[in-house]
Amino acid sequence: MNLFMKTVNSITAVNKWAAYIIAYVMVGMVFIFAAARTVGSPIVGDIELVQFTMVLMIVFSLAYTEKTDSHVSITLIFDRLPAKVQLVLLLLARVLTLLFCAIVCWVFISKMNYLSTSSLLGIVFYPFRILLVIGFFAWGLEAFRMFLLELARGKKDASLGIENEDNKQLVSGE
Amino acid sequence: ACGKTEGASSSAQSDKVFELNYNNLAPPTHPYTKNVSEPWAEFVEKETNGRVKIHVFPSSQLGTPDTGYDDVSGGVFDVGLLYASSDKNDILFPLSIGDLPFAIPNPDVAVSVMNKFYDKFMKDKFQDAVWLGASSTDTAQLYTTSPIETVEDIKKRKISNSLYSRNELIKSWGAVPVSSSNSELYESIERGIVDDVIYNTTGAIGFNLNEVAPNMTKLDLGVSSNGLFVNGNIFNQMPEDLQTLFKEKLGPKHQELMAELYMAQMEKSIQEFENRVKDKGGKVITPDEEELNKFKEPAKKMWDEWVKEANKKGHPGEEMMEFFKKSLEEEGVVIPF
Amino acid sequence: MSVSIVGLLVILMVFSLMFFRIPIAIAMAIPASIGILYLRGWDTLMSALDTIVWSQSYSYTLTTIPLFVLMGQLIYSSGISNELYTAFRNWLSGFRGGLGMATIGSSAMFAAASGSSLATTGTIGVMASKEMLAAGYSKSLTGGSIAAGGTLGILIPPSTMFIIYGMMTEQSIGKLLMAGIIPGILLTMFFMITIYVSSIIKPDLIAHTNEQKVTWKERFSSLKATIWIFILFTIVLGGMYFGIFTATEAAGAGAMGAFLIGLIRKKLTVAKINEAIFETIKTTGFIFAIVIGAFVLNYVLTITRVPHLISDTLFSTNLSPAMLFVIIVLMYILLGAIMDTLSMVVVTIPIILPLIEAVGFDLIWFGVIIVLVVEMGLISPPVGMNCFVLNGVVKELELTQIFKGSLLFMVPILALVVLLYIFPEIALFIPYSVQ
Ligand code: NA
Ligand code: NA
Repeated sequence: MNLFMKTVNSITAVNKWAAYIIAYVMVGMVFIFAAARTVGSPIVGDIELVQFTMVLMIVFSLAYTEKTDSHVSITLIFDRLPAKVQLVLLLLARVLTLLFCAIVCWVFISKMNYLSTSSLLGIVFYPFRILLVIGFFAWGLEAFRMFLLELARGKKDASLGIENEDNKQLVSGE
Repeated sequence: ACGKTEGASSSAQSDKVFELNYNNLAPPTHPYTKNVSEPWAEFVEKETNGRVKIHVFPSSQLGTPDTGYDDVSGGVFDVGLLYASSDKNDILFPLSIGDLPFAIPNPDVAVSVMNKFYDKFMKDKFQDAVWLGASSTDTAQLYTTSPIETVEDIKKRKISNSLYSRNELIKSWGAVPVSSSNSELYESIERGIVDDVIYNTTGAIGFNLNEVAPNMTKLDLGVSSNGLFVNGNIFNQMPEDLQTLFKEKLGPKHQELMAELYMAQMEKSIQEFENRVKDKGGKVITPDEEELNKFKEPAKKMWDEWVKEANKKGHPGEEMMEFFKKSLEEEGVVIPF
Repeated sequence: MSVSIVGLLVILMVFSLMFFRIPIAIAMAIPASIGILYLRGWDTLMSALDTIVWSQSYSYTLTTIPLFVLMGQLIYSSGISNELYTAFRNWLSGFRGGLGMATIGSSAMFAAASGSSLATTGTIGVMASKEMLAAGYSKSLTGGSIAAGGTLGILIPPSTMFIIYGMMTEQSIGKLLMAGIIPGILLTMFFMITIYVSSIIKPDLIAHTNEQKVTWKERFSSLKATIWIFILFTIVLGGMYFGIFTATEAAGAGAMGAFLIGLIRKKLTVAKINEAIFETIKTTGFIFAIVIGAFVLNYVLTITRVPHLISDTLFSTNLSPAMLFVIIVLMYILLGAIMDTLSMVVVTIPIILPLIEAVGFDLIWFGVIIVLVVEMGLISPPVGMNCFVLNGVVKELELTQIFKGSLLFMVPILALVVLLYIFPEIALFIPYSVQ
């Protein structure tokens, strides 16, 4: 069990640092492309390259987002429920997340197509699709790890109260 | 998988009503919606005595052109036009021959040539989707912010293009291809992000491109060819008489509506463009044959490239090209090289 | 069972899951998937998920979000937000309610570099609350000013809300962002007026004014911080306005600019940069998840023709456009009270859009209206994310006090909605005059 937890932890960490590097690449690339176009020599396929970078950014961000519990949820009713029900709902959330990740992984694996390429640069899609599978798989693993964690905590402490997570989401879509 | 069928009043197969979702890439007010997809939906319902009902979803609500084949074969939508050159699924690649620059001059030729091409090379290629016939939009022109008379004029200009396969051509003119999405097209010209746009005639009017790019160089770059497809699963559930009806009457009707619309629109749109820009210093430039050939010449490389690409993908490239050229000649089209 | 019923059942299930703390992305994706499975089968579900997940991740527009988020994070890490507050405090000290206005002003200024209302609230909240409480402002006025000021984060560009709205309605992101400028400035002024007027009507809101005297030298020297924001704002919005950048490129230039500014000011440590990037990664992750969920749900709603059902029902009652507008705004205020606003927008836009288009409302203009009603939702009880965030970072401000103070600021927002209905040009003048 411990080994499983540790493995998932390190997978998520690898993802996190990969996303970290991609963030630099993305800023640099978009900046250079914008500059190149501004001075009158646009780079062919610039948009495609940025799109591929975005795929990577997303792939590597998914597990870390789950680990830090950054997925937005509404706690209005939840907060007023008894601890046992809260635990059940928390576990349900992880299970549904796991389910969704599993479906997406399955879809991408069974619909793998080795021929499709980007239209301008002719870059093959499949390596990025494989990475997407890895990204969703890592997200699912992380959700499962959190599930086990919460289950263990729930068993230990019936009066479990998860901290209000709102202040962890300083940066959000809103 | 279960098709979504409803209203079956008896267990007899022939009473079953098939409801098909039609993915229409154009907005609700577009002539394509008014003159092709909606009238066709009515036609289908009438011809099948209500046994087939078509729901038209405009504005690409059910999917965009890049995922067309995957969407229709997976049942994200049931009927719709697919564009070989825009589709990321490689299975349609052979059909992209119809989009080669300076090949197919108008929708009538597209229907005839591409249907022959399909019969010869593509007949057994599709398993999850069923082909209901070829059609095309009208031919593309060059819309420019300042008048372009010769190939020399176009050097170094930034040209946006709706069909990626034309980018090589743009480069060989000495210009720079720029990718921009349809929704940003007008703005891109307005703000100087691009200088010129290659676009089909009807679409250019629809987007009011004349306001920002008041000149048109009439190059007749060629059509965007497409094919009408129906989801294979739902097609196979239909009784034989309906299947036959689709192949022999409903599919051809769609082609007919397409050709009618775009043949008429092509002439009208050029006239309309000229009227709109007349007072604003814009004009329609028709290069003479010698000059036009200078625009066309570099395209030869792309035709050759296409053959190589086809061979690489395991298709009989030379044979396809030969057949394509022969079919064009039969339609009275002069092959530029 | 009619297909529309299936659509309505899916919506019902989405709301149920959402209110029981299932992450909203999953709360949308799972019922929607079940709906697709029921109506069209496993093949279609697979194809739909394949198409949606791929097209939404292989996306140029979505790139704008991490870049803008990073820009705001870097500006915060560079300590500029602190100095902004000092500058506004110095200039407004001496006015009645000056410190409250300074809170609004610095929020507006920070909003020009940040795309998020929650980030704006959290950033300004810590400093502003300390100073306002010390200066004798009541807890409710303090909380209300900060929470309301924070809402400017999504109105004044950049704004992740405009980007999401633009993606869902296929409107130009650049035009949408520029449409937020004048309404943003107006709302900033309205908020300041609100503080001034309320402090006169109810003087005990500010118990004692011990704001210290500030010299002119201090005033001018504190202006330095604002220059950085002006530079960034000019690069980002000027770049878009004058056709140098697309929205994504402007975001890239902004993030690079914020990075350079941080280096020039020597305020960026490796730890601070890392923190900024990790915040960006988290935001990217959850926004992408929500976008996926929203598009899967969107597909079900489309094939079940629920939006048509609703618009047909509404139109059969012969509503005038004005009445329709009132109904839509009221609906959003109600939903905004109880829902997370991002999910509110992604769930409702596909349903509302056909209505809006049918009446002929401008979709850029309507985007500004949506952002304004979302701002109300952010500060209205019981679910008001801005108030939650403020309560999270400043423990001495109680939630009820913050909500009570925030209610006051709903009035100027509503006033701006009405003003925009009468004079759409307020929003549309800049986007439709671009070079
Ligand atoms: Na902002
Ligand atoms: Na609220």
